Amino acid sequence: MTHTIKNWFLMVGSSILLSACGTSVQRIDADETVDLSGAWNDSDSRMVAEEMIQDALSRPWISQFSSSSGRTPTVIVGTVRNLSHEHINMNTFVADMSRSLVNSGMVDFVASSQERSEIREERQDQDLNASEDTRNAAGNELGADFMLKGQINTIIDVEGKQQLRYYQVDLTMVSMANNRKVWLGQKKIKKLVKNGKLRY
Amino acid sequence: MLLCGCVAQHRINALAQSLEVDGAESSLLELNEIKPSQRDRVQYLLNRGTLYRLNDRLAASTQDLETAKNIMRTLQATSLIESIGAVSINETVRSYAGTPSERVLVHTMLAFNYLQQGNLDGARVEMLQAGITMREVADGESLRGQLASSHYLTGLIYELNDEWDNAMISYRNTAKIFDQLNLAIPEALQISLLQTSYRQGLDQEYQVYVQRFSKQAKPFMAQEKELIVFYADGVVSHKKQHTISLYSYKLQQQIVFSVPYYAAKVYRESSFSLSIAGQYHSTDELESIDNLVRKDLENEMPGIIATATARVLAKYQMIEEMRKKEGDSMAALINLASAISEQADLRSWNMLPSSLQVARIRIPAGTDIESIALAGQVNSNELLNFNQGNTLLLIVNSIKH
Repeated sequence: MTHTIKNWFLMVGSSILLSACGTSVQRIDADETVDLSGAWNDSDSRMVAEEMIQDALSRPWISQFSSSSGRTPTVIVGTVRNLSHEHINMNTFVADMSRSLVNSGMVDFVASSQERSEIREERQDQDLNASEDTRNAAGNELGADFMLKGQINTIIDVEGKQQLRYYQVDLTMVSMANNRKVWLGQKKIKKLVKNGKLRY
Repeated sequence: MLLCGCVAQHRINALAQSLEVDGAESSLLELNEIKPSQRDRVQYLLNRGTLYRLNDRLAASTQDLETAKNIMRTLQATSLIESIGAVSINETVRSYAGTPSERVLVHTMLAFNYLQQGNLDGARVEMLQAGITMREVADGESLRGQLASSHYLTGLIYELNDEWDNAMISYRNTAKIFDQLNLAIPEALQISLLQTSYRQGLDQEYQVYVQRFSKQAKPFMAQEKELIVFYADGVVSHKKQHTISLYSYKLQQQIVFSVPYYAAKVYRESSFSLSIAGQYHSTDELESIDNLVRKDLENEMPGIIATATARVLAKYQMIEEMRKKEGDSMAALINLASAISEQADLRSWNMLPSSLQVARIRIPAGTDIESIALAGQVNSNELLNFNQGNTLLLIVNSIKH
């Protein structure tokens, strides 16, 4: 067979076969940052949550509340809206913030409204089925003093195969007593994403 | 391998053609029996996501459409291997990456899914992504990949989020496309432009719309509600193959040249009607998807013809080389193989509706919402409530379960 035919078959074969590629799995550290598509990822969620809660806890609203009431403030996480261009799993972001708040030991933290419903159901069930000495009575819940609310916004600029992704996370701590905003936090992330012009 | 792909494509085209008669459930069962090749995966997922949607399996639909969307994004980079394959074998060697309109429509379909699941933020994300995709595929002043339906749905989602200034921009963009196409502005868009400009105090612009549409914005009376209906009608056309095959005695070769085309449109637009408080209302066309896909192919045609011409020359040279080195019989064999392998790329998202329609209807105070009578047998969701129940949304498909 001539070189031309061999080349042709090589070309055809590689066109069909080389487009397929195998799967490989590599275990990496959960804290390691890996940017694949440039979209919001676990590292962004964790870093933003930690930094913002750190900032919130270092501000004077905690000491002001403690000195006036004589106890640590109780915080609840309200709605954090995703107003960005991406489907962001807000549950992991809220969980990251909750963890940072609880682990700080500087505030008391109460369950969200969804969690409370389940707990109340369980309490009602205890009322009927649990022994008297182990039963937890209704009406002893810890009321929140502050609610943490927020939103994630993005601005995306596109030119050809390049994208500039700007994320802005705004969090607000609002006093439940008088709606006063006691802390405003902001974190910005900027990513330049260059998509390849060629692929296999 | 290539012939299997061709057979699967004909099966998918046949399924799309019979979708209106067979219904979504039976079509989904048949589609699930087809095992697509990796390069046809996007088309398969788009079609399966559509059928899941029509069967009210919204989570499965969202998963398929999201996957297709992500693959389409990665396929925007050019593959050298696939390009060589397209010049040496045929266009179906390329991975299917969707047309510009399909890349935008996938966001629209996903936004409908999210709305039907009560996830307004999810729908908002999709329409923001649709905006980026439209900017990516834009080509100067042409309307390549610029969809009126996408802009309109974006406007509506902004409206439901109380983002009126953004909604106004989206409605303006929608009207701009209708004007560029010299099409009459549908009544729902007229109402949106009037209501939003009036609400935002854009007096001059409002007066322009009053003059143009000969109507005024109607402030909402107490207890009055609004129903917005989106209606997906029919099934979009699918591509067919046009083959020119001739034997050249001079070259001693069978020359075959195949390109895709759309046959004359058979779709007859029919609107969706419903009766509310004794009054009949019907939907107007917001987007002719049938026209969009034809326009997409028209735009792609110069590239398809250039590749097909290069392919004919490449095959000719290879056969001639073979004739010189191995003789006539081997050349004839290779000529036969090259003729058989010549196929047009008939892939498309061919289970899309042919037409997307819309209506904005005022519901008088005191109307029993449950009594809204749907005309005829339709495939629709439950009425969706937004804006504290003052805005109702109904998404209807002409394709039965």
